[in-house]
Amino acid sequence: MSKHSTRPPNLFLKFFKWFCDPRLHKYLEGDLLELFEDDVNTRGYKAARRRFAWEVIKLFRPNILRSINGQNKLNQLGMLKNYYKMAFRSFKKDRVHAFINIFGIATGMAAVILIVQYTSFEFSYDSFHERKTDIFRVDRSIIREGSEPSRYRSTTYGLGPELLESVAGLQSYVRTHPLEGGAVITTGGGISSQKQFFEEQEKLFFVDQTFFETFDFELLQGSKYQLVDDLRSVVITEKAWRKYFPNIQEPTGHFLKIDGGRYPGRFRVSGVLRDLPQNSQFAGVDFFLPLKGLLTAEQYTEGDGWSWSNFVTYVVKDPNADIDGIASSAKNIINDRKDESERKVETNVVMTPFLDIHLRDQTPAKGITEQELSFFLTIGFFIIVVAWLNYINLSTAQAMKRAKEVGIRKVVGAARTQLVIQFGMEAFIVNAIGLILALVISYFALPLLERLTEHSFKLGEYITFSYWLKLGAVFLFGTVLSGFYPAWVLSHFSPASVIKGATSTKSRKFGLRQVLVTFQLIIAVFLISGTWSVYQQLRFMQNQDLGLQVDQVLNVRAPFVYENEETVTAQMDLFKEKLRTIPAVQEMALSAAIPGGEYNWSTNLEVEGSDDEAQGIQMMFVDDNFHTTYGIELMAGRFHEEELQSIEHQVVVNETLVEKFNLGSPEEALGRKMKSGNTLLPIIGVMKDFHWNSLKDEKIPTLFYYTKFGQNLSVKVSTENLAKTMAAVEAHYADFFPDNPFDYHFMDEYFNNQYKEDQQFGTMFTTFSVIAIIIAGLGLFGLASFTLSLKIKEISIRKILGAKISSILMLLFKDYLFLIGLASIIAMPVLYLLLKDWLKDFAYRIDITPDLFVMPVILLAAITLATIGYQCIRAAIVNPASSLRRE
Amino acid sequence: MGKYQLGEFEEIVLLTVGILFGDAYGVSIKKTIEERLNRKVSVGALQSALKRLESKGYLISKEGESTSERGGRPKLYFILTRSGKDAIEYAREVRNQLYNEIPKVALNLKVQAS
Repeated sequence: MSKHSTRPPNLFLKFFKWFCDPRLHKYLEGDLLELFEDDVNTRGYKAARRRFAWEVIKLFRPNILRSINGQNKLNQLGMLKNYYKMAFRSFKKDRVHAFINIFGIATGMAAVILIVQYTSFEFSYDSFHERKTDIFRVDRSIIREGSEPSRYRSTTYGLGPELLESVAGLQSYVRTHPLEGGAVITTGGGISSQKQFFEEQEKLFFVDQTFFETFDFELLQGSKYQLVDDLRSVVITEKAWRKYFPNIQEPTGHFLKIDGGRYPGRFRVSGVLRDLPQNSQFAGVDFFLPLKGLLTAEQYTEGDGWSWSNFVTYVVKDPNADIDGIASSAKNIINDRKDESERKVETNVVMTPFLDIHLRDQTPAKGITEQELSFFLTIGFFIIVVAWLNYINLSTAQAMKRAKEVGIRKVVGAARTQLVIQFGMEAFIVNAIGLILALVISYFALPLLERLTEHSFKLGEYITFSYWLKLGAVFLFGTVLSGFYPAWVLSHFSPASVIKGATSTKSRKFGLRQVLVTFQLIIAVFLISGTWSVYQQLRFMQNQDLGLQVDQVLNVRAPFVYENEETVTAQMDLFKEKLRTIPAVQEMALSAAIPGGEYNWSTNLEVEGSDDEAQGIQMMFVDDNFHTTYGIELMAGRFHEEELQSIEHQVVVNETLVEKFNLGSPEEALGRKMKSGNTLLPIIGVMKDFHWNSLKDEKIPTLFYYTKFGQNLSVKVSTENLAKTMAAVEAHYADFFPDNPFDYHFMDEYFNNQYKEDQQFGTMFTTFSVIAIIIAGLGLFGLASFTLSLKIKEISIRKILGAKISSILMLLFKDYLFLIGLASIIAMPVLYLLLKDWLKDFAYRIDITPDLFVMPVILLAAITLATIGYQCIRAAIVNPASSLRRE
Repeated sequence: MGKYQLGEFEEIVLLTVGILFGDAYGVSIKKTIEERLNRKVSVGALQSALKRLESKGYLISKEGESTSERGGRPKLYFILTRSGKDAIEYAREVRNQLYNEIPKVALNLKVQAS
């Protein structure tokens, strides 16, 4: 063994030399080497090297480490302690400013945390499915000449199977279909207490068996895979279990009777799912029924699978398959399958990625969008920035008060970096307290967020780790930036001039402080105008004349549970007769669709004898009293009348339809025949246009078709004695339809429900704007108190020379008004563009007029003057003698 | 805690320095403790104990001569100071006192119980 190879590991020798206190190094190294040589002799070379390394590592401890600053102590704990103490002393000395800073930062951070909580939730939608990136929804996009392509998320039920058969790269398909119109569900026999409820159509879903293989929902009991074998089985959620079988341990095997839709009957509960996660696009569905069963219903057995396009189809592709190729194959299949009449329009297939459905998909346009989420994030960012700007402004404004401290510290030997550390630490303490308070605030404000968004959250839930990191980085970065500048300003005073008393805060005409204040005001103008505009638009939509009356209309659900259709129709007539005896009841109509809800049917229509291409229209099935109940005006001809149904397929159309098909004036349109497939539909009446849905939608060509079997009974009532009227209606309903639950709603509420999401948007926007403005206002308040204290002598001298209080106030306000004006001018163009973008989603919208901007600016000026006004007035009425005496 | 503060390990180190009188340096102290007490001692733990004892004034250190062994590094020898001796005495006295005050019965019981 050569001498060389008995050396201890070089790396560790160097490492040891690097960290070891130089005063100890040579002795300790000697000890280590001696031990090493012993070990080589007794244990062998390898073991010795290992033990050496281990000893070195164990030597890495405070007593042995060299100190960081040469011969100085290892840390500056002592000084840090002092800085800490000084920070709290200065907070105590200036409670108002400390409060403004901490309150602002805490509220700002809380707002950011809550916004991140909410946006993370929205972004987390559907992300828990394992196959999420391989799933696509098959959408159709229909291109008509001269108009934007219209997108439909519905397809025919024949598409899925054919795609799977003829397109390579697909693994499976899932079709879904809501139980249209909802259903009444009753528990079957064998249970002590029978339960019966009406369930909205969103809760009942017909699905393919593959639904449960494709999407990951947790099964609690039974099997979710029996939907194919047993066309009479149903999978329910925990929620439905608790609702229908509250006392039953094992609901599987029990029966539910489902009345309504095209596939009613008794269904055996085959499985129970855990409630779907609230961040699933299927959340809310409580009953899963076999789609194969639905396809045995009459209307679906007739065709070949390509005539009814009211199914939603999802496909699962091979992880490696190219989705564009699949889409173009699907496009060819769809176009090949078209009828003669549909050939003229081109259909494109769009594969919407499953994860995009919640936030990016706008067919139909509803729900929160990605833009809105980033908008909220931006507002959150603005709020916290406003708070940090307050900190910068107030701390630099305070510089004078701390100047003496800085001077003394420098005289006794503080280096500038130490002062920067001191003031930086003050900023850090403010932000740290702010963060702790922010967590407390967001914890307690979480229920508000839950109420606003109608979801339930635990703090931190849904927020991914990388988001936490980003959030932490933003807070840290903000703290450092907002702390550094004041620290730099404060630490620059030269001790000699401070102690001589020669320092003065130079008031430059347009210093950094003015820039920052202007920036805060820009944010304020922006938020106030934004909120104002959103509310104007919402009010505009709700106050617009709809062309139909939804006030005072009560909607009662027609019975779902009955023996046969004829008897229930006869019962219905009798029920209506009975209702007419209630004095408050004015009009009544049965219809399949109601305003604010969906249309019944869409179809393509042509004018008989014309070569123009077919256009999509919407159909509603109503009875003869519909137009009087909802107050829709007739322009020409007549509405449906029960006695005059001899003309087959007669229809009443709306103004827009007449225009779209170029039928001339309403009178000229009468008698013209429309054609749908091979059916001729003669026009007997033209209605004035009305808004069937919210004002976000364009007016749509619509026609009314006569029916006596609507599921909705709309009753127009006078509002006097409403409770009594309701009770009477309910009593009669129970008499006539004892097997049915009484389910009703008021049409105005129902209709305005369409604006719920916009209202939520508005409320959130307002809440956060108010927070931002309060923080900015507090900042101005703090700043004003400081600037006024500098001006107090100027004011006194002016007063001695005869200035009036009003002119002094004007002098003080002038600066702020100037900044507000400047901020407004800068904010307007951006605001205009954003507003225009937001409004473009609304078919009916307010014009962007100057008063949308003028009001907010006046409001902001008022808020500003109110916050600083008190201090200004106090300064203006001060007795010159008392302020000048001090010197 | 009285006027002499001494941890258990510190006490052992101090005693060992006394035993090795004149020849107490890192390696010899370590080896002696390891042999006599049959416990492992790391250089780091020992060094920081020695440093602590030195700063309490129980030990003083002095550089030895450089030899060709140990890569030419000198040894750092430790010697007990007066107050170091007092500290040992004190510790011993306190223990003896405490021991003597244990009733005989308790000791007997202990023996039987084990």
